[in-house]
Amino acid sequence: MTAQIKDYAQLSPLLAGELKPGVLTNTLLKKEDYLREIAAGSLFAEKFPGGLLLLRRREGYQRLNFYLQRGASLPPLSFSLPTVLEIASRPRDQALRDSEALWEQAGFRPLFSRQRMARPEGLPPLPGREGLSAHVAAEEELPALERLLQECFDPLAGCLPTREELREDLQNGNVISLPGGILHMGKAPGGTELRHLAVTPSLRRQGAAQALFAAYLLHTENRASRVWVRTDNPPALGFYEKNGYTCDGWTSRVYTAGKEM
Amino acid sequence: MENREKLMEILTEACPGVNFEGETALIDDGILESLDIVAIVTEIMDVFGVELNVDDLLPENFNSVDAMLELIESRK
Repeated sequence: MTAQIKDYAQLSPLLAGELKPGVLTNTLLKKEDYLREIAAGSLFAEKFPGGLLLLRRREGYQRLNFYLQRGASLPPLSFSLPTVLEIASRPRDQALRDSEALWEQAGFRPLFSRQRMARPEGLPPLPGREGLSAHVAAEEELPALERLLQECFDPLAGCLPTREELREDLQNGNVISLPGGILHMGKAPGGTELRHLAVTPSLRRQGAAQALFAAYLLHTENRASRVWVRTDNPPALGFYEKNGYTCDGWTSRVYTAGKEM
Repeated sequence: MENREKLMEILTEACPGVNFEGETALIDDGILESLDIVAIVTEIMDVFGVELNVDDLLPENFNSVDAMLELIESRK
């Protein structure tokens, strides 16, 4: 039975005993993360023998995090909202990878896979095409950039920032733009993570993505960079390979269950 | 194998290239991110046979090798 978590005292006993040898999990939220979700009224939980499901509600869908003790089975699952589950792993995380079959048996449908790619600090940039230049975006560009992200990325699994998160990223200089193009970044160990790179369809194949990327390297002083790329997107994979990214071993599978969005 | 050696093996496997012995702000400086923490915490529990709780997932418990060793010892 899924229940809304209204205060930390309600959550604490559910979490107790989950973090022990052999547990499989796709996330580790800190207490402050839980407190933020609880304050926003967005945290729901379902305890079952051998594990705990945590659902974080978002606009029109929810994200699933789990703790699953090794050998445990999942209970019958039914979701009233589209539900997204992402399991990231390395080749050595075999037990976690094996658990993916359980989710499929429970009704989760694979949407796509991503692989993480890394670019070392200081790698010389490719020469850009002349005539196109991108800039650090201003807060006034928020509506247009938000529309562009929504146009180019899956609303459920595209990891889109909320309007407020995007506003904050604009204020912090974490967005590069040109008319019809956006590059959205965040912090990552030793450098930055490239979170979204998109160009409106009518402007593709004209060097806009490369211009955004050149401005990104300049803005980040060519520090180390990471990106998660869908494996079913050969143009994106080719773009990052061309720009010096290689797979670092992390992959993730994204599943969905519940009502279609 | 000593606890420190076991922990270093976990850490260097999770994040190759990081100089763990010289770092004292692994979380505060963003050297470890959430996925790294998931990998490190689950390996620590498996290798050392310890149980943790959410309240242990504080930056100060993971900022350095010594802090992690102290956490492991306190949970044994």
